[in-house]
Amino acid sequence: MAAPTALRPVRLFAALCLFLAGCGPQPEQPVTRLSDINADSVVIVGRLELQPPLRPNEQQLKMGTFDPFDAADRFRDRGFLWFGRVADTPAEKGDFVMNPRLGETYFLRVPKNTPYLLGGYIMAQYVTRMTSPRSMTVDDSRIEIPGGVRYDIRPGDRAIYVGTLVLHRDEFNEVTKAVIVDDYAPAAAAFKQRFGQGTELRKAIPRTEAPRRAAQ
Amino acid sequence: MMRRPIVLLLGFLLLFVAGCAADPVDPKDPRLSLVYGYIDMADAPSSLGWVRIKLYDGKNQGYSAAVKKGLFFHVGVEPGPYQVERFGRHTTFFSNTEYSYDFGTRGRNETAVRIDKPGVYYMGAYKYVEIHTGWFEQGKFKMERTETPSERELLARLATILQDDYPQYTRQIAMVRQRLAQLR
Repeated sequence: MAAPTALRPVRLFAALCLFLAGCGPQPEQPVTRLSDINADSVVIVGRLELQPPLRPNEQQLKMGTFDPFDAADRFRDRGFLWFGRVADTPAEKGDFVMNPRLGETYFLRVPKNTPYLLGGYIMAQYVTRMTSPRSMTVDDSRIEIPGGVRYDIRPGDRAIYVGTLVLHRDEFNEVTKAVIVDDYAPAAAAFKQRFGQGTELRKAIPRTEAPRRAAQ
Repeated sequence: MMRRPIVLLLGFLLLFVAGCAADPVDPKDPRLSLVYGYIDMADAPSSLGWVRIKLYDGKNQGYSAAVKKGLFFHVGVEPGPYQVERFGRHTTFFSNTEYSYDFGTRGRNETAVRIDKPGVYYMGAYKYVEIHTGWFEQGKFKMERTETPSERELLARLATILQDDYPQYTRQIAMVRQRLAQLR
């Protein structure tokens, strides 16, 4: 659990400036052309799903009195997934982060030397509020995504299909089960439509190891 | 000519104050439950001033529990899944620092209860325990379940508080007494 939040004016101002300037996790943009991918990276194709899905307005995202950079959009209907070089790295200390939109097929670049999906989260609530004229606090709550998965990325790969990661949650937003479903056919069709013929989308659906909590 | 702005201002103030008032709990509503628990803040940077009990229905609603010396409770909780989301202390005459602590907002925490039928629901007794961190590191803490005070002790305290301060909640007082009898 984080420390009690009681920020002083200078820290408050600095925190707001840093946040609004986009100092949160910087996720990867979706790949639009395979020529943008160098030999050290691979396009990962898959999908992230939450069951039951987020209800309308279930996510409470208020990044401040004003949000000129629409920082909330990074969290809205999206999950954050951290990747790392080493399996037991704490999720948020991972080397690489991507934030796919829930329920949609994603096409995201991942460095080949970060094959471990360490974990992540879906932001359920991120609300900044002024607690006095000189202090603010952030209320946040998350749906934690378990990690413990290694993607089979091979040296010659340009694109791999990793399946649909389906997260089943209980009423308290605890992920009770995570399964990987093979939806290769529609994903391969979407891949061809996006990038054209000629590049193989290799099926590389991982076998899940013992799941662990993202924060561990 | 000068009175109109003052009337408008007064009207606005009245509406504002009326909007701040929470809906009163109907003492006769048979659907409502009583929820209570305890937080020991002896090792925390602040005392306990408020506890937020969140309803996990996707609409981000819940209750602000009353607090008396670590004991928190609410006499009018509707059915649904709940857990303590946050707790803290507002500013005081001597301190303008507001404190807010997460009680584990990353999934289910130990206080989770599902209220299916009206009754008395105990969320448990907990102790704020500071975790030592290094210099320049953000402070951390954990909430540890504690057996003291016992459920029975807290319920007896709650019965006294209800009797003295909220005598109109006769249904809730009867439910507390019934539960106390079960714990003997």
